[in-house]
Amino acid sequence: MEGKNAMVTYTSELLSSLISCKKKVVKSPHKEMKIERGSFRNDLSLKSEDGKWNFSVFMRKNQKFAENFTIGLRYHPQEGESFTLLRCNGPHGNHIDLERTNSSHYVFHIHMANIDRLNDGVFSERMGTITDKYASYEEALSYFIREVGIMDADQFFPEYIIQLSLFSEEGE
Amino acid sequence: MEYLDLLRLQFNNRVRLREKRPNILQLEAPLYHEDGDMMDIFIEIPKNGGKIKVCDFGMTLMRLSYSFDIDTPNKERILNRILSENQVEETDGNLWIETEPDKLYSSVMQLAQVVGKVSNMQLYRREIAYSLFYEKLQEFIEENLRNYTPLPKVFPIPERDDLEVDWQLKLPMKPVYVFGVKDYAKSRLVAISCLEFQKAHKQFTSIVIHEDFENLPKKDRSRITSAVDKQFISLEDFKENGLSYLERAA
Repeated sequence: MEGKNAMVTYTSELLSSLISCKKKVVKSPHKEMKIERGSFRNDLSLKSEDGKWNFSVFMRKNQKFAENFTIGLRYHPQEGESFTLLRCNGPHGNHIDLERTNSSHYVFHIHMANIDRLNDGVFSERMGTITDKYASYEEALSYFIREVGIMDADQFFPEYIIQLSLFSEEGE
Repeated sequence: MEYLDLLRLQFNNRVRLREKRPNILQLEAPLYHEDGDMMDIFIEIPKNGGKIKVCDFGMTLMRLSYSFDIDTPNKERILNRILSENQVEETDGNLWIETEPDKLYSSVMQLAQVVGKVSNMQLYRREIAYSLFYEKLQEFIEENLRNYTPLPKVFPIPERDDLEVDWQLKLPMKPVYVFGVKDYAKSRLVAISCLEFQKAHKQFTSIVIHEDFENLPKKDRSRITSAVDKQFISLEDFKENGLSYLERAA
């Protein structure tokens, strides 16, 4: 299946590769999240191991409601618009597709890019699916680091790597 | 609950309130972001009388920051204008309106409109950044290059109104065509324009000021390097070295 974003043609396989490929950190996150306009924030920049693709990661946590968080991976193509490939969310509220998908966004959920949504040309990660992969911001970050293949993550997120080993699939 | 009943009535029963925290209710109403998430609107009940606060607890600016930062005076100005024109206040990212019980519905709708407008700032990110880059470049040229009689929007080939020079500077030997380049689309247009001017045997020197040369795709860096005479990799570079370059060229 194919979709277009500006001059680039995407396939489902390419989107999967973009999400899962090994990525080097080219701009490190801050050691601590910074409070800015009502939310804790941190960001980093990534490049695929082969140097072809550029990404950024945004980590946000609402200052008032710690459960309202998101950790997202954005892809920055050389041509065309940037878009979000993956977004791990906390339980923040309701969603327009609630009745159709029978999913509630009052639970932990993940938004993923999808070719059909890219074809629509607006938000690539509109719909979300409920997840049991994490139950807190810290667990979501560990899950995210693993899913998007951040290399040498222990250098940048040592405390979350400990969590990763505690809850690894091998240990389940 | 009094507030819920009032709002239900005003919303024709298409609304629910969930308790988010003591004295803070989250609104469930048919008000959605473009990604399908319901707008984050809360009602803060006053503890000791006073006015009700309809607010978002910073969620709108948090969502906006996934893809767009309010990190320049121009963006700040646009945000403040949206807020002030819609009579919404901001405190540490929290967008809020104080209201009376009988005006809850209109206050919720008023905040929802602002949430939508602020969220949509990301759709104009290119235009907002573009105009700021141009504003700064224009300001510098007008203030510092007056000796070269800068002339904006020049068309060296009269019948080709698609090939525009941003500013023409007057130098003794031949004019200097100055272009500001923010992105790859403008870079390509400038490369094509300069090649067309050369083909038409126009006598000129071309200068490009990039907002961020390194941000251009590699092929576009090659294309524009091959087509123009002199490039400045950033506005700061031009501010630092532009005048001395023009003095040498004069």
